[in-house]
Amino acid sequence: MIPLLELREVTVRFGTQAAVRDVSLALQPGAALGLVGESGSGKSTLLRVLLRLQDVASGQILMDGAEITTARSARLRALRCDVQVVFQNPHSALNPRLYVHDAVAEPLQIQGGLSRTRLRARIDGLLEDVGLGEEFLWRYPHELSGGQKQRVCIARALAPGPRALLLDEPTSALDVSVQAQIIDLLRRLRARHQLAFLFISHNLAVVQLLCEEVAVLRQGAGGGARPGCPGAARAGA
Amino acid sequence: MSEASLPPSRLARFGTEHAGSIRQARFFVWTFTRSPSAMLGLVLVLAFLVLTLIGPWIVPYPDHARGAVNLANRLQPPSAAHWFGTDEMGSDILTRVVIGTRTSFWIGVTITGLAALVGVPLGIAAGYFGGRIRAVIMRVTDVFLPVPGLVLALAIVAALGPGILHGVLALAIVCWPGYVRLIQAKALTLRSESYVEAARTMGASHAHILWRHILPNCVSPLVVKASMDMGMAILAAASLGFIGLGAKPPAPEWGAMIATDRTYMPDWWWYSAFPGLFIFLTVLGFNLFGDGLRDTLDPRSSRG
Repeated sequence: MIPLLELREVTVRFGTQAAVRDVSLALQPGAALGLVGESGSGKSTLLRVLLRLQDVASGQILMDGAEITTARSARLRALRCDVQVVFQNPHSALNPRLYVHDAVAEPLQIQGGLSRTRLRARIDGLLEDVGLGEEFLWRYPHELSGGQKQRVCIARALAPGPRALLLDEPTSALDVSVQAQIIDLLRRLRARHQLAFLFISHNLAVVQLLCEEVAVLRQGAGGGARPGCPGAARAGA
Repeated sequence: MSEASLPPSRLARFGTEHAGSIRQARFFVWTFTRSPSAMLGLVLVLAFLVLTLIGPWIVPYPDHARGAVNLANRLQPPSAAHWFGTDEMGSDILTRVVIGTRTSFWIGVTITGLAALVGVPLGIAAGYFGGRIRAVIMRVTDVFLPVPGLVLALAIVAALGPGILHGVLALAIVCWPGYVRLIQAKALTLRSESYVEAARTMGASHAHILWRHILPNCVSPLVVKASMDMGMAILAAASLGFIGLGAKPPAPEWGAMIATDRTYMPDWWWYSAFPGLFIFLTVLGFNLFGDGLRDTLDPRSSRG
């Protein structure tokens, strides 16, 4: 099976410091891979590499088996709809000057080709998917709770119809009760849209809830993927 | 449910789609009106704008605006006929001071407008694109920044020759680096915000990101700075007028009027006192107004 996303011996340097060293990683279509590691181990850097927000010093990034390490402009834009991201901190992930409606509409408008009514119907559908009603459409981010903001971020990430969601500790900035709701929502969405998840966390308990496989990152080096049965995951810690 | 109901009227749709804006505007008004100094600033700025707008129709001697020769009436102290007295040519000072608001207004608007027009695009480019573009823009800006503003303006006016237009141009050249600095710093922090990165992962173009995310978030610091700079520009233009390098008498300009009265001080105090008072109130007004705007638009900065 050709992995949806693959990293081959990727190294990222900030100055002379290697933030990530020779990491290889594969995300299969529809699979859920947990990526754990202590803070500073390069998890978020790896995610930025996968999103092509961060250039690599060496190594390859592949998508559907094709190399995209240096893909630019038009080609990259086409690829980007397939992989979307949900960031850790929902408070900074939404533009404070945009309504919920406009935030979710943004990826659809960038793709283009939707009439006003179709756009509105699609936004309504996306918000319904993440459990937000019509009354949230015309609110600013600062009028939402942390969990509601994260739901908007998830709706925005789903909008372009991605095949994979990269989740950068999407629950760690939230209250415990809200965390459980978001995890639950992510599980349901994954099943409904056949999404592949790359779930970054330092919380193994949360990873177990969502993922079948766990990879451990320690000081920038990959410990490889291992089956994520509870016992193995604990051994990994 | 919503599919079944009739399409809402235009007004109703406007109401729902802008409910957030309306709530936000109400909050701004509430914060702003709670601050006495901001309200004083607002009143002074409004008074200034009203005088600018309707000045020529309310002054008692409209024909004195450009200087009238009426030597029988020269240097009269304030009286019922001439509330602010008369000058050495017998012109009514109240008239000339009120008409002077127009000069000051367009000087202020032109200087801040030109400075922002040059500074904002450069600041956005420097902050957002970074790298070599930033290095070049900021190096050039740094050359302009440490030069004392009025001194540079003096040099420019001395080179181009005195006159109000040259003074305005000179002060705009002095002002723009401040805008580059401000907007550059703002754009630099915005560039790494999560929502900008998210937009990038959606395949958004630079133009889209700049227009949708960077520019709107630069507006409030820009408005605050422009308001403060209006006061500064008016003061600087009056200073140039005062030392004879800006507006020339008999043009109704406050700085030039004060300068003319230097020879008549202190016996004919009213000649310079009233233009001076107007400069003071206008500059104070724009500064307080800007301060109030900052506290309203960006409540975090007022706490530290």
